[in-house]
Amino acid sequence: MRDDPLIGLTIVLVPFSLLSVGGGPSIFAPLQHETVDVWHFISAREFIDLFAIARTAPGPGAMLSTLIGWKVAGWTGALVATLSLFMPASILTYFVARLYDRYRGRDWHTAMEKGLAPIAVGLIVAGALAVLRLSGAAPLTCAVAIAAGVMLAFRPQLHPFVILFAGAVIFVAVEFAQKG
Amino acid sequence: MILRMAYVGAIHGCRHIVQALIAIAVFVCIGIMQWPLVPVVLVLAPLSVALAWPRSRADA
Repeated sequence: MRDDPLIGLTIVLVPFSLLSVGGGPSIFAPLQHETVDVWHFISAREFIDLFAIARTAPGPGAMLSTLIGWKVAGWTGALVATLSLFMPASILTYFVARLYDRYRGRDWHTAMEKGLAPIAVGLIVAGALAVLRLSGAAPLTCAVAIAAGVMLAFRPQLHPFVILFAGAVIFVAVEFAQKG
Repeated sequence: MILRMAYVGAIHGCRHIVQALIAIAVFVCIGIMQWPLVPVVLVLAPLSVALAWPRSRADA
């Protein structure tokens, strides 16, 4: 069963779909661990490249799973990965949404909201660490990532492309400085 | 952008010390220890909800 990449993608992504509290960014860390370290679908370098494409391209960041599926098994892999990640969560969300407003204000409803929020935060920070770790975690990389996070946190109206452009300029400048 | 998302989530979702501790526990288990997502979430999510329950009753 481990030899079939399509079954492997399904085994990896369906649980993520149902348990990734916090949306796409919350699965980056476990997705990296499972696809790179456990199943060896792709290399760490490929994961970073696909992550960069998924983040800069239009659409949700979780499209990273689609790219991984495509890398592993072509268009069929992309389709299987996309359905495995989005279909179970969509079905679950449909049923939860029907119940959500009906029980708003109940103790367990409030407890669910307050209890799941920190799970999402922990997963998202772990995702950031996973990406930093894969990118080499050089001091400059960490500094630029933290600076970008701080700028976006305190200047949310700033367009992300400005941050991306500034980061690219910094890295190109450093690269030229090192060669020159 | 992920860090900013985490910051905003922490501001709204980790107002209580217990919530902050749960978030740190998830980060350590998944990010540092690189444990699998499924068992970590299946253990910590019900624990977090159970710990939030008395506070939700108090707030109600």
